[in-house]
Amino acid sequence: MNAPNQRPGKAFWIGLAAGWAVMAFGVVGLIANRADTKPFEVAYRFVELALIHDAVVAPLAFIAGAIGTHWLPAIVRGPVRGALALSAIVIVFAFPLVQRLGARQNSSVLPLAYGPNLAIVLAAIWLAGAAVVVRRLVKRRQQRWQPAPSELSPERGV
Amino acid sequence: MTIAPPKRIEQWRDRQMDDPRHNDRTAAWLGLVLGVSFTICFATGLLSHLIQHPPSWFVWFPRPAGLYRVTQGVHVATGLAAIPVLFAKLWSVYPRLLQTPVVRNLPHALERLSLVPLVGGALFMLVSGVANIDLWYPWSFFFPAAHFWAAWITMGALVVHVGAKLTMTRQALRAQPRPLDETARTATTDRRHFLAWVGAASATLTVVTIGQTVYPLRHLALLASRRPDRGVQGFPVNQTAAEAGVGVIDAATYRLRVDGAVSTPLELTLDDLRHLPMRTATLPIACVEGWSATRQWTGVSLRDLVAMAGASADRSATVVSAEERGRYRTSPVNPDQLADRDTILALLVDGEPLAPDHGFPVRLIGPNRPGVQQTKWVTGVVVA
Repeated sequence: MNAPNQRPGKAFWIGLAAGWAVMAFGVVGLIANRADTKPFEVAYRFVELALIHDAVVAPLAFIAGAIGTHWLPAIVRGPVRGALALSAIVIVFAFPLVQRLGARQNSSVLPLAYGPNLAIVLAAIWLAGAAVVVRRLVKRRQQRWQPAPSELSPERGV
Repeated sequence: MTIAPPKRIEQWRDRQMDDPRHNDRTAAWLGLVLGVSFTICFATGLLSHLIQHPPSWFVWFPRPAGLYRVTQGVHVATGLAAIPVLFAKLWSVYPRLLQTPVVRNLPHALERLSLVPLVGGALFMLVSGVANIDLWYPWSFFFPAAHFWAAWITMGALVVHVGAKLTMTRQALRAQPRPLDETARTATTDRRHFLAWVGAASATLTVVTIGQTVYPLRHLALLASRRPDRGVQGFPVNQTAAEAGVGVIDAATYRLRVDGAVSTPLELTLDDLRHLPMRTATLPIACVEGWSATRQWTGVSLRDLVAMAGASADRSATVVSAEERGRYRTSPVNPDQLADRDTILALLVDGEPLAPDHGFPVRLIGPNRPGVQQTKWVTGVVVA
């Protein structure tokens, strides 16, 4: 199913048959072990997560990328978008840690100061972003000072 | 179907599709990395499941001693590194979601239908996996069982997707970039920068967590839920004695029973155990949640104990904990593990008596076993 007018090839049909068989095996396992797996909750979570991504996270990412950074100079825009995306992923990842959602009477669980640690990681990300911008600026400056090829021609006496 | 999105959305979609970060080549690279990552997670996860629930045809050997630490460490680290790749892939192909017609024919319908378990399943695997390593359970299912069976559904959907996109992926990866005019050069640069940021994101999550199992990198593990050097006696505890409902076992009244298929059933006090020949082994304790810590354990070799009770060395055994309930209150030891002298009923760790949270007075520790099978507060050995 690669292009609208392309007929499905052998790989497509093999993948379809094998993939749906494996999925069916998973569904049967999920149902057979329903006391542990709670199949309806798992199915609900599948759909919920896909919907949250498609209806909320992805549109927000596009809007943040387009509106949030379009006013920046072109040389800064890419690194800022990259650092923003990376920061968002790290913040979401660290959320249960910072909120100590899994905390219990066990000193070895969540043993670190996750708020300050998250701040350190975010600072490192933005420092890396700044380093990319500086590198770009230096490169652009070097290119500006390089003589054009025509200036290096023998006719110019070089 | 002839449902079409509004004109402005169509225009936006077409504009995005021209962006190199949303083209076939980018999607193919991200898909390839994601496919490999999920396959690694699936293989290592399946292995962990087989070790914990061994069918009759499966044998897990006690050597090399640190193999499970590696496979489970790889499972968790690969899953974490895949998080940015998954989001990048979904972002990259998002404009295609709005392609029309929504469904062209039956095969296309089946392929698109499999995107629901693929996207939902991939997100479920990573979200539930991360919550589990953080010991956060905002659901009612038993994590290992749901994670395991959901993995089959997700991998099935991945197989459908690979079959459907194989030709396109091959073509996109083989395609030589067009002659580098200014536009093509900018496009290539944009794509490379995008992929570099995705790689940086994966590297970041790896660096801030991998120290939970790679000891020399522990100080970099800023966002790991465990550190191999933090906890009672200097290493982590998964379940405390209080959580297990065991409390502090009275050393004076403690008894270890060895029975089952033996000629001389044993009942040993803690003092009896202390006077038996001791064996010391340096072994990792490797948790399914991805952390691990190496310690020096001293105790009685299970093989010697079983021999004392008159059983032959080719037996298997079940080690029983003082816990009254819980899925892991017993632990199977197969004949290869039992024959290994380093499968120990440990009384000491790093030369000190075990703390109650580490299984005082006696815990099982053996080479190449998941942490949940290193049963604590051992009160019995049943030989089969």
